[in-house]
Amino acid sequence: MSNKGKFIVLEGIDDAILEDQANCLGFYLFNKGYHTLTTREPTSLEGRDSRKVLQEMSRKGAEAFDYVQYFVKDRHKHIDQLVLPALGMGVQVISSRYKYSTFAFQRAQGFDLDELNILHRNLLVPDLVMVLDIPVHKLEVREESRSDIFHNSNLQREARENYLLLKSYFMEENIAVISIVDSDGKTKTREEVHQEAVAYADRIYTK
Amino acid sequence: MKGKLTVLEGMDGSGTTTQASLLVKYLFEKDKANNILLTREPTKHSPYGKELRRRLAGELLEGEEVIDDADYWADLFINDRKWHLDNFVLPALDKGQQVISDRHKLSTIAYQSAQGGDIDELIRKHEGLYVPDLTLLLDLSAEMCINRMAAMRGKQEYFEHLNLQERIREQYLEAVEKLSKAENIAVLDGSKPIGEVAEEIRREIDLLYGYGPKS
Repeated sequence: MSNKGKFIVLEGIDDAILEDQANCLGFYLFNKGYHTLTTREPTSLEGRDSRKVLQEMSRKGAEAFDYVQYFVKDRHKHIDQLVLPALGMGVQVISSRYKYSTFAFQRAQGFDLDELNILHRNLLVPDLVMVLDIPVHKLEVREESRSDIFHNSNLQREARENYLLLKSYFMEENIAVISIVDSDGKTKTREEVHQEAVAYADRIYTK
Repeated sequence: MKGKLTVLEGMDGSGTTTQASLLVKYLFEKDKANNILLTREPTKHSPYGKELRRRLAGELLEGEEVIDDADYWADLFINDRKWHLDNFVLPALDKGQQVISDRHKLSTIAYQSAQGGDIDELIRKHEGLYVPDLTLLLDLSAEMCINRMAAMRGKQEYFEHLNLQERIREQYLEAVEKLSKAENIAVLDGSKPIGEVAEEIRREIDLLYGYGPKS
C-alpha cells in the first residue's frame, strides 16, 4: 500500500447530503485504519466565513467571472495549504466539493467548460470523484442555506445537468455518479448511498 | 487561526472510535470553516508505532521475545506520540485544522501503570509534550467494556482480563486526578447510550470552542 493518501471528492447540488456522506466515508476509512481529513470548498482559509463572502457577493451583484475568480483562488489555497500536505503524510482527504462545483454552477452561469478547464490546469486530479445526483424537486428546503444565488432551483437544475456531463468531459478522471433516487423514484436511505460510495472507494484502495 | 486538539480516551470497548467519528460530524457541520483531521495512536507510520502494532498483534520477528516491561512499552508509545505530534498533529493545528485523536497520553499512563510502571514517572515522561486542548475520558465499568468487546469480536475473554481491565480503569481515573489541575480533562459516563454520550461531548466541545447553545 502506498504511503500517500488518496484524495476523494464528493460533488452534487445538495450540501447536506454531500457533507453527511463525506463524514460517513471518513468514518469508514478511519475504521479501516487510516487517518482522515474531512474538508470542504469553498474554504474559509482567508479567515472569513465562505457563506458570508458568497452572500455579500450576491448582494453586491457579483457576476459569474467574480465567482470563478473567488472559487479558483480559494481552491489553489485549499490544495496547497491543506490537501497536498495531508496527502503527503498519508492522510486520506475527503472533500465536500472541488473543481466540479465550479464546472457545474459556473457553466450554468454561462461559462464555457474549456475556459474553466484552462483555469484549473495543473491542479490536483482526485483519485475518485463521486457525484451524488438528486433531482431538484427532491431537495429539501433548508432556510440557512438559501441566501446566496446558488440556492436557486433554476440554477440548481442546470448545475445538475452539468454534473452529469462531467463524466464524459473528464474522460481521464475517475468520476462515478451515484443516484440518490432509485429506479422507482424513491429516495435511497443514507446507508444505501453510503454502501454505494464505499464500493467505489474500496476499488481505489485495492488497485 | 490555530486549531484545537481534542482527545478521546478510554478502555477498549469504551466507544472512543464511535464518539470520535460523531465528533467529526458535529464539528464539520457546526462551522463551515472547520476542516477536521481524525487520527489515532499508536500510529502506523513511525518506526515505534510499527513496532507497537506488530507486538500488540503478537507478531514477533525472528529472535524477538515477548517483552512485559512497562517502561519498554511506555517508551515505544511516547516516542510514537512525539512523532505523531511533530509530524501530524502540530502541523495540522498550525494550519488551523481541528484535530481529533482517538487516544493519546492518558492511555499510556493508564495501561503502563496498570502493567506495573510508576504513574508519576509515566506522567513525567510526558512533560514538555503538547497538551491537548481537551481530553474526554469515557469512563465505564471494566465488565461493560469486556462485554462490548466480546460482542464485537464474537468471543468471550471475560475472566482472563477482568482484573487487568479494572486496574486500567482505576489508573485512568488516577491519572485524571493527577493531571486535571493543569489540563482540561472531562470524565464522562461512557455507559450511557451512544447518543447521550455524544450530547455530553458536544456540551464540552461547545464550551471549548465558545459555540453558543443550540438554538
